[in-house]
Amino acid sequence: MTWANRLVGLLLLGAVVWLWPMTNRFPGSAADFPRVVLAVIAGLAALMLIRSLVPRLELAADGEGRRQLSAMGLPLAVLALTAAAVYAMRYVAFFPAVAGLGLVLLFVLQARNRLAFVLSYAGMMLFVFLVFQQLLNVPLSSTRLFGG
Amino acid sequence: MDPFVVLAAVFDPMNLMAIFVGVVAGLCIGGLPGLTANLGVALLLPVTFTLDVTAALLMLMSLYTAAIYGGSFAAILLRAPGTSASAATAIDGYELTRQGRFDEAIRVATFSSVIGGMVSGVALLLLAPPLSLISLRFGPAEYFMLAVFGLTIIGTLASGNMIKGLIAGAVGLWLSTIGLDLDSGFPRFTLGIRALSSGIEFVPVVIGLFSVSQALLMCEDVHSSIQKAGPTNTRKWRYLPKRSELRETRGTLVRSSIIGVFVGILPGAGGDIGAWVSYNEARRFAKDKSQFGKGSIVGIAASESANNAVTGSSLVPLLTLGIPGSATAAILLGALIVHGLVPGRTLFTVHANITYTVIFGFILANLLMGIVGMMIAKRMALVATVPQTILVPIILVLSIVGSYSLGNNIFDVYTMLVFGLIGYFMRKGGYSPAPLILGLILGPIAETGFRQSLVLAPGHVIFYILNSTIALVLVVLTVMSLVGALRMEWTRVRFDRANRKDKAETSPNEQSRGEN
Repeated sequence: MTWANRLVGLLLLGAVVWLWPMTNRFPGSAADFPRVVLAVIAGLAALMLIRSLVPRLELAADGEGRRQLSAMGLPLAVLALTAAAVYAMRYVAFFPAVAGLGLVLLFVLQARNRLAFVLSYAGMMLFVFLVFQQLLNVPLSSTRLFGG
Repeated sequence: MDPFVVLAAVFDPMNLMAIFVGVVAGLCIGGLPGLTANLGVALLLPVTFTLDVTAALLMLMSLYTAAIYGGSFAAILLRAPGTSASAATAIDGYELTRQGRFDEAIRVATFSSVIGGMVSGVALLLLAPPLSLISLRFGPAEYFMLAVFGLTIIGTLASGNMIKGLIAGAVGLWLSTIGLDLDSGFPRFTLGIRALSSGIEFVPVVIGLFSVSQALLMCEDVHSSIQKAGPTNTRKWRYLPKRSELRETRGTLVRSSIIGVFVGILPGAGGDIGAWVSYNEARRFAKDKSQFGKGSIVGIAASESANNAVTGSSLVPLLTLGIPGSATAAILLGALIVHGLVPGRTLFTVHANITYTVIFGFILANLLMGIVGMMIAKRMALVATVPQTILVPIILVLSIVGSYSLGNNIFDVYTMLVFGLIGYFMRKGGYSPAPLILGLILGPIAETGFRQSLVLAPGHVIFYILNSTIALVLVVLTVMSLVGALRMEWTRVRFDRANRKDKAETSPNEQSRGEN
């Protein structure tokens, strides 16, 4: 994952270069601590870049999940669908949006036991309704509170 | 502290219910391979918002200890540790299951976990109050150095890669500076987004980094976890340990509980380290070492008592100094702050009744965990085989509800999703989310200490910090932890290099053998 470490190092250095001028506008001592932190991030990012350029200093890959880039397709699709469901909540409220998300995920995740999927998902929605909406008074059914 | 008030509070129906809910939730979450105590605490945190602070903390701490114990079910029945802390249990536990003795393995795991957890609760009760006295001597310089030390130790030890751990911690510190500056009221790094003025909320970040990222990682291999439970016997289910089992494991239980307590107090070292150290020690002390790996109940007792002994003791530095001893303790630190409690001496003076109720409740939770655990253990084989296609949507929806319920604000849900994506890439790249969370929590403490030190310092701020004995000790400890991590990393670099060299040497040989 040398390329990933290199990319992260470059991104962090880029972020520091972008954020540093913002601290010039901060009044009094408000800029001191962020500057120290940004300097530390820059230093560590530089260390990571240097390390990624010296192969004998690189550690073996230590991340979780699968190594192939193609493995990220489904997780990113699921996250995008979840974000879309959250966006839809402002128009159709929480429960219909979540029910729609469940229906889409049933096919996207290719659940083998569809009955178990539907029953457990419905059970979870009932739990959310009873605990969050009824017991904790979280206004899940209100579209107005969701910004719509 | 009034002992009668504390005891009455422990047995208050609301608090007992909170303990029970925490224990059951913890057992289920721990029993599901892939779901961790961190994820459980993060998901349950929003449910505790409307609860009384004592009940809230009891529920979260009960979940923490029960999840660590619950991890042993999947480890024993499926050889798939429910949590990383149960990995050592899987070695001998699954062997016993294969021999048709899974009831014995579960029983030993249960009473070992209960003893380990109760010992850690007693350690918390005895060690935390005197240690909290030290916090009275803390000023700005000490608090600043304490935050730096906490971040360094979690960053270097918890992640396994020093630079990556420190980067995660530093990014967490930077995230804590987003929002209105408390002194001047000036918006910092808000990029014109009004919702960022109040800063980045801790709960959506925790849920995103731990829960959503876990769901996304599960999506990568969504059909892989459908496993069949190992062979189980139909012998009569025995709830209490046999005398022979107690006799065989008593020495190990004492030793491993003490090891677990010690490891838990060390910031950054979690249940997995405690379990492995104890397992190795039990093997070293064993008369018949050949039994280890072939279904030794001593091995299970060592690992399970130690990983539960870590849970209570990891709260010692958390409650006294505000340094969490594990990733879950880091989330619990956020929970304390969300519920208006600040770690330090006041927890043992002003809020003594709450703190002691929580500690005694934690000891009770360990006992209840054993009883409930033995009652549902037979069914846990079924829970542990729930496919990931069912778990992923449930985690995602509970994450949405959890982050929304914080302030009934949709912005928090988007924040959670963004941090879910960040957490997913972090974990794929080998960055532990724990230092980032800790940076976000300790950021305000570090900044306040730093800015006050700047004001108070007659000369250079570094000399002001070094002028304090406690701060100086913390500087030395920080340097020592960095040097120690550097040495560990250098050893790993050399090990990896040797591995790569070996592979490079063996592959041409294999190739030539194949050609011949």
